[in-house]
Amino acid sequence: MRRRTIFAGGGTAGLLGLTLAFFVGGCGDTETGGYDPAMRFPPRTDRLVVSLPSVPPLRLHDNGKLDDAIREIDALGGRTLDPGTLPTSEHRELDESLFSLFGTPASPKVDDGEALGLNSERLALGSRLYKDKCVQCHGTNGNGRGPTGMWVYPQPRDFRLGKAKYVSTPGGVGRPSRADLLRVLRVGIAGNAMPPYGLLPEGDLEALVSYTIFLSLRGQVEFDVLTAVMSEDGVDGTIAELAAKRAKHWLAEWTAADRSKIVVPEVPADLTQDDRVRRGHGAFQVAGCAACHREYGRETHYLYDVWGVAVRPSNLTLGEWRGGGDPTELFKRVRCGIAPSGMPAAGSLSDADTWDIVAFLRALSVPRQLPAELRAKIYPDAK
Amino acid sequence: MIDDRAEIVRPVPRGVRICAIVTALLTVLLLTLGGFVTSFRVGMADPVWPTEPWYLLDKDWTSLEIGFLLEHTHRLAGWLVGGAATVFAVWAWFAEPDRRLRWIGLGAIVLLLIAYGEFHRGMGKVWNSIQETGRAQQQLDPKQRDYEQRIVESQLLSRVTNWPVAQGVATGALAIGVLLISGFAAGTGTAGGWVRGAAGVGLVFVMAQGLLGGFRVFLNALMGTNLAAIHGVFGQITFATFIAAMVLAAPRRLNDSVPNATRQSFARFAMFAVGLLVIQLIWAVMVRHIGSVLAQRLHILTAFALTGVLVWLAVRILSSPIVRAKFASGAYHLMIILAVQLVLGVEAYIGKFTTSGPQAFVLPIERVVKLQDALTRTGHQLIGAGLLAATVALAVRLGRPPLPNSDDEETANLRDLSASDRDANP
Repeated sequence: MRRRTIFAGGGTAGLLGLTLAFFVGGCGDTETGGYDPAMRFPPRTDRLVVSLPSVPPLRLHDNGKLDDAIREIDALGGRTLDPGTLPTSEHRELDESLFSLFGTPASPKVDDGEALGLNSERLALGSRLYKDKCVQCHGTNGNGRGPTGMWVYPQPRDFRLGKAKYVSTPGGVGRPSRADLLRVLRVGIAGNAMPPYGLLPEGDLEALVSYTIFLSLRGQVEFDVLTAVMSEDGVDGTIAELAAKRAKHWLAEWTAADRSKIVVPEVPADLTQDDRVRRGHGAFQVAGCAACHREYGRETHYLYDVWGVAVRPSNLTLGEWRGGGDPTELFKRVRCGIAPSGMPAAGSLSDADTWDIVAFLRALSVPRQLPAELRAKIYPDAK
Repeated sequence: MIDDRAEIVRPVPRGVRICAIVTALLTVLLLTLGGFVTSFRVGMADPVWPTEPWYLLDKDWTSLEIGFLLEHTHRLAGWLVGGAATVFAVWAWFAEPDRRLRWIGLGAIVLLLIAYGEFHRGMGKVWNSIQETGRAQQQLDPKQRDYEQRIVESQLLSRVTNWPVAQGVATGALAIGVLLISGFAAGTGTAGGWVRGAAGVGLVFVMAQGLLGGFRVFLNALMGTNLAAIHGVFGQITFATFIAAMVLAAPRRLNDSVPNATRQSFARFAMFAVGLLVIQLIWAVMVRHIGSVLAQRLHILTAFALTGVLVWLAVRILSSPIVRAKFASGAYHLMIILAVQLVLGVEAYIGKFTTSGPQAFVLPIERVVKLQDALTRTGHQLIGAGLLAATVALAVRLGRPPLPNSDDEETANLRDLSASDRDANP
């Protein structure tokens, strides 16, 4: 009898606990994607890289030590700003301005963003998917400092500068089109931790692209305002006015970039022929590629990218193409450059010259595909 | 007169028992590495799957980042556990005294291994196919007439990939076959039948667990961390299976169990505790992988209930003179592990849910993980596995019927079977 009472009491208490837990905790994900509707984007706390040192870096930064490396930039002759030194009142004003312009993780928004596919519905879906699939590397506000970001190399992309490496837009700015972002999402980035999401439905991919652009826009506005507020001249007008102005500016820039993507001509049939590879080798030298890709990239040296990260010009003899090794993608890399890493766009090269370089690049990592005299020159030790 | 401490029945040859111990120990290593993979959130540090066991051999380890290294050493440990589980199962079945059952069991295991290998190879081809399709898709020109059609078609996995369906079905069917044969072996009543059953089940579980881990990477786009959560739960269940096998493979001694009248009630209670531990494990995994707010509450509530149940179990054992004589150390061990686990749980909770500064602005699951946080969380997970293992071991030991009296005919039979095991596997 006593045992039965204990079991009945325990069972009732358990049921009560479960009911309470369901009542308080809810069933988890809702239409806000698991975000508290009141939760705002975290403010930027990492240093802003305003200018890079004039001397190249001596080494790559260690795993998870990106912020330490950025902190050293001032001592090396560059300039960074610490948002932590901003007075609380100005921080609050900036936060309110960004909230008013971009909403929250649960309800992201961009005024007049429809032309770029940034409508509220798509952004809300993008936010949910981003939380599920991207946030662990790229962070809640797209700073590339999610929990996984510390433990993988290269550090995941920080979207807040609004720049990307693998683009098909001219001008050497590194502003990607929607199609560029979509491509990276679909196939991932070979050789690093960015996985392919090609199995996702098209609508989800488009929503993720929209949300990535949204985080970039928000980050760019935040960067601009912080730099202005922390400059000696200060802000002309209020922070809210400046934020609105910069948001409009960057939205226009993104829309223009999306419309300006280059059209890659049809891949020539003779891409593997010796004559074209020889011409490509010549064009490679004339275009100045060898200045950075010394010894075809085999010689190690480092450069700063726009995020303040030390990067190494690619070793082209390895044939490892992060942005895709097919001729069309290589054509885009040569024509549009990799602006954030300092690789200039060879926009003045003719289509024929560009294809020649592509032919040479594709043959370079496979010695037997090179004409004999080039093979002897590039791989003198090869038998 | 027979000494109480003398081994009178060895259910399986000594080598099989060593295999069971090695498999369980390797599983601890696997769980530790898996725990760190989850704590550091680096399960997708390398989005490539399947990979071969020697994948890391041609890599320059000094240039590999921590996340990649952790993920791949976890995969390597998975292969090692798979290998150990295979040797354990094959050796255990080789010791089956019934020749017909022995060859049926061994045949099913070998066929399962072949089918699994072929399925793994087939998935490698699927991965390459998806990559090629994804790249080809980028070359589509919107001006082409069939652009829309090709986009739609390319999204259909069946059109763009060559799934190893036959190999998958064969693997599934053979896995079910091995499970059935394992169940049959356990039910035959032969010495070591339960060990062979557990070895077969463990092998199937470890294979399923490998596939769950692989598909967690392969289907990341579609499933996110949901499959990782299932992988996390099933890993500990697999570990519990090997622990059970290890206990069952231990030599029996006279009077190493309690009389039937008492043991059934204790065994039922211990099994209830195991069930509650598995439920607690589910909440834990949801907190770690999905960040569910409901699971956070249920994990804490269940911790209270579980503490009560385990303490009650220990008190019952210690307050019964007959049971206490055999299982006092098990009960004390359980209480020590429980105490450590509660302390680690509190530390893990504080580390995860209380923070200040910029990290306070993001959800707990999105916060940067420091080394000490990872150590505490992985420690909590590992000691949790230890608690499950200790409770399973106690439940198995409590549930074992006592050996018949040494003069009985039944004990003589058991001795004969044990001797025949030794003869078959000198």
